[in-house]
Amino acid sequence: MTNEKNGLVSPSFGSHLSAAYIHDVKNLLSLLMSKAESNHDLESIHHLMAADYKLNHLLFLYKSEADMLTLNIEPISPNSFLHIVAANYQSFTLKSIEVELGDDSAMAYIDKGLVELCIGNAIHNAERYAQNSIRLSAREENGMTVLRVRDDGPGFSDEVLSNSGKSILSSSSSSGLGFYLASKIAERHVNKDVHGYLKLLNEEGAVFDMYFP
Amino acid sequence: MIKNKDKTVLIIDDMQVARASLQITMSNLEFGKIRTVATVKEAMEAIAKMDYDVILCDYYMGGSADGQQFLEFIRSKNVIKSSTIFVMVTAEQGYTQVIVAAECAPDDYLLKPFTGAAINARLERLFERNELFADLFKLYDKKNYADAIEACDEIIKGKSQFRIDALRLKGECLLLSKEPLKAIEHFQQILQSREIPWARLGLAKAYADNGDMGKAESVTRSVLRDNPKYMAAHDFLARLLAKLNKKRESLAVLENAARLSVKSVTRQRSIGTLALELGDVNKSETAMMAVIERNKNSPMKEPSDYAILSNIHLEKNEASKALELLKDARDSFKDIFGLDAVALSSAEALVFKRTGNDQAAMKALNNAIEGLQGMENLPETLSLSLAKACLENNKPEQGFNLMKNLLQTNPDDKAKQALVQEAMLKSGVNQTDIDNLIASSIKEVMQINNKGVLLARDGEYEAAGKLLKSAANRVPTNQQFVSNATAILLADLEKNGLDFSKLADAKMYLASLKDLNPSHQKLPTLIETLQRIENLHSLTLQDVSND
Repeated sequence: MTNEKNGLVSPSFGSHLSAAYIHDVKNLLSLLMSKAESNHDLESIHHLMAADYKLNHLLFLYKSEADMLTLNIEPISPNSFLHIVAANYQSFTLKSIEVELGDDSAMAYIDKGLVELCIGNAIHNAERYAQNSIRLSAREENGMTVLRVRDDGPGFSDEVLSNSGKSILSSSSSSGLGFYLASKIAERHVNKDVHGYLKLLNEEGAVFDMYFP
Repeated sequence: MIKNKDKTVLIIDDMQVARASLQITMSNLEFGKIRTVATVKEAMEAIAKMDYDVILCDYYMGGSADGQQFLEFIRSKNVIKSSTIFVMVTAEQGYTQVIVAAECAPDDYLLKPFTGAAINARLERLFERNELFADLFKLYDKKNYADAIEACDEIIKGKSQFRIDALRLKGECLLLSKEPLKAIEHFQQILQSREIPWARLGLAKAYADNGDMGKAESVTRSVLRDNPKYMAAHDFLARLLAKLNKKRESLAVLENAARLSVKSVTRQRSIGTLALELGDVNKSETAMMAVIERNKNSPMKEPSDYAILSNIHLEKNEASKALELLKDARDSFKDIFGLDAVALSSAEALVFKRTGNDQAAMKALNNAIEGLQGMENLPETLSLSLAKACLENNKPEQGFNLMKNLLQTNPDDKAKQALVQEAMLKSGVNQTDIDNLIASSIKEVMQINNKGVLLARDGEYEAAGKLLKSAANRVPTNQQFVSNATAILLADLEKNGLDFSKLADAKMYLASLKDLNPSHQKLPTLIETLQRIENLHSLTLQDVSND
């Protein structure tokens, strides 16, 4: 099955065995997902999404190590982007995911696939600590777009705050790895020499802010 | 989800399990009618029978075709409406690289695995867009670009989240309606706030339409420096260079693009055609074989590809291979019309002749010539093959005429003369006759133009117009014929007053000159003269109504 499916990404990567394996695993996850959805089995969906994140992390790390990660920046509406991400997670969590709508005509310039991965991961993380709700919002700050995920839990630990995704070495936990990737992905967004970045803070709960130029 | 009830969905996936699971997802979302198909062929049949609101297509379609190619095919053939929502589904993260690089992007895409909510949220948003864009899409599909641009402006003013889509569509409409100055302004305005590759490429296209080829080329190259994998920019650069008759450079750009990206059939076809025009038979063969192999068993295959490859086989003295290929083509295509029919018959005329079946060859040639009636602007490779078929099947006069027209498209093009010379030698014409044809064809261009200009100078506009019009109709790609035909018609209109049919002709020739060479040195004067005539005309109308 995998043999006839080569030549998709860059030739060097597409021919790589691991890409083909990941592809097949994703197809299997996809099947499990539709079964879990038909049975309204939220817990399984949860685990499936978590497995998918792990796979994507692996893929991202692999590509960025091999210097094969190119971003596809396109203009998007933050409102509809957050709305879509929230609707997806709301479907399998009992906690409430709310979107604070901003200016409807605002535009952000991001790689929506990669950023969805980061925001999704942040929600996944927030969900473990939130008491009731997770709030998503977008705003503009000094010419940059900020996408925020905030929960009403106890906030990040000091260790997470001081690292803030800067180092992969101290990120033994899976959430640490997620922050590291988010920080890398934000950084890869560049406009006129201004780079994006990740900021973690505590403010009546944990706040995850991704800045994009 | 109430809205979903009256929406129709087409699911295309070659894997039965995946198809079933998508179907379950969509019926959970309460879509009204859901049809699932496994192949491109079935999908084409389904689309032909009814309009679907949503097409969900897996990127992998089994065999050699893929979803992106299918999307490009149905959009380019206008098989689906602009309002049809096309969503690509794929398990491959790398797919995002494919769409951003492509000229034709789906409305959205989904990476597996995804939840029903994920797809529903995306579709909800697209339905909302369709409601806002309903009139706009209708105008666009009717090619009423002027009104479509106005509709875009309304949306842009309205500060909606779909503003960016309206900006992009407006740029497309401005380019399609050949309003290069407005398009330049539009794209520059977008680029002021942010660098966006499609806007930068749009700017390059607008420059090219405005005749500023140098700027068009340098802007496109700058897009490629910043976005080396932007395939649409590679393809545009290749077209630009081909238009400037830099065929070798154009071919190099295409080959480089083919190395960088997934195989695009359209690009392989361009490589095959260009290589053949440049006389690189082996390169052309490789490309055309790839095209045919990829489209095998797919409704996206084109008869003319078979005709071209058959000619390549003949070039390499492999007549039996060519014969088999054409037999294959006849078996697999039911109805062939227009240029495709001419191309296939003309290829057959050559192959049958070379394999000793004179009678079938003559029959095929007559079919080709019959099909030629009313055709304008034959592609170069087709002209050449038809000319050879005539020469080898004892119709020297038609063969010489076709070769003459080919030579006269650009009398200064030495490469074309070499191509004609080689083809005629292979078809058994002697060197002296070839030399004479080349010399007389070039001389005739000069003679016709000089005679037309002299006649016009003597006030014989009618005769001058007739001479140049017939020359321009015979060789519609000769810029001198077309520009002189325009100039003489306009001079006639200025001197002898308004004549609607002459005015219409003048406008038509002017438009095709613009198309042939937007930087033609006589264009500004011709446009100015036309405007003067039109102004004068509307003035007289006003005078009449005021009386």
